[in-house]
Amino acid sequence: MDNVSVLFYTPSVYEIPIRSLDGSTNTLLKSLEGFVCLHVNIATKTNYQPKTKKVWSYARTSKHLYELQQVHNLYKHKNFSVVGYPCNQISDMELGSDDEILKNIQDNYPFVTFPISHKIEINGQNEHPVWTFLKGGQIRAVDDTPADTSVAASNGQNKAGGSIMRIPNNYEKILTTRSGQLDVRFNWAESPISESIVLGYPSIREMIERIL
Amino acid sequence: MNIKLNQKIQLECATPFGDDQFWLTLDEEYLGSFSSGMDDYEIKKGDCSVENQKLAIKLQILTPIKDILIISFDESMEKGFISVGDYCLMPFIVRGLGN
Repeated sequence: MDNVSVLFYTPSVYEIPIRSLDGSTNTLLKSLEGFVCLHVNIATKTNYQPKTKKVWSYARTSKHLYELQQVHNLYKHKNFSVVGYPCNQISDMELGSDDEILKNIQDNYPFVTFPISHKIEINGQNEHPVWTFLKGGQIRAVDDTPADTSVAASNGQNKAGGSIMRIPNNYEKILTTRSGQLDVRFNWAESPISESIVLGYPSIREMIERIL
Repeated sequence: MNIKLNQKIQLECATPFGDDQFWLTLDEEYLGSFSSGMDDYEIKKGDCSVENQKLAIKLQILTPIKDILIISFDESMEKGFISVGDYCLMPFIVRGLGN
């Protein structure tokens, strides 16, 4: 019977330890066991100097975080949570330390209350196991073709040991079920609060409501 | 109203990344233009309102935020706040004439 259990054992994202941004827990996801979660790689632009109009750059990031907080607030009473993962691998938009990121959020995005992990990598050999899981778990066995001239490739994200799948943008959103299994992934441009159906696909809210 | 009409005034806006500038021109009927330096917006009839001597300008921003931007002056007309959507509030001061 034990062997049967092992055969049908499916890992859960909640079992993977990850430290919270404020360092108060090393098992941030364990505390969300039984929740439907929307995992998002975020970039708060801590210590970042915008390359466009500063106001628009700040407003864009505020909007992303505000909409994530809105969807978190909308469903939290049904055991739903957004989880943010600061990462500097996309366009160097998260340059600060954990303490600096935490202060930046408290000072400039004070509406944010959803759980946030410590700063991690989401692609490549040093990617956090949570994101290996969220990307499907397939590990690259050999270094990818040297003909790949992408920035990600030059950063070593195609080397053996990293996930085959790669997160290309900040604010990619991955939904997991109450049992911690992968459900569906949305790209950065999908607003978490949009009720509209885009090109025939269900919105993020519809997908959340489907499994709540 | 205290604002210099028919002249371009500069609004210096504080962001977490440092100061940024906008330029505003209004005529006697509160028609004019608002420029970020990257984008220009026409201030049309109905975009401006004055309540308790406080001027507020509400603009639909087409790019890159696609949201509502509100420029709210205080009574002195020398400072105020620029807000974008419900999520972004930044103080500004009037720096006088722009270029």
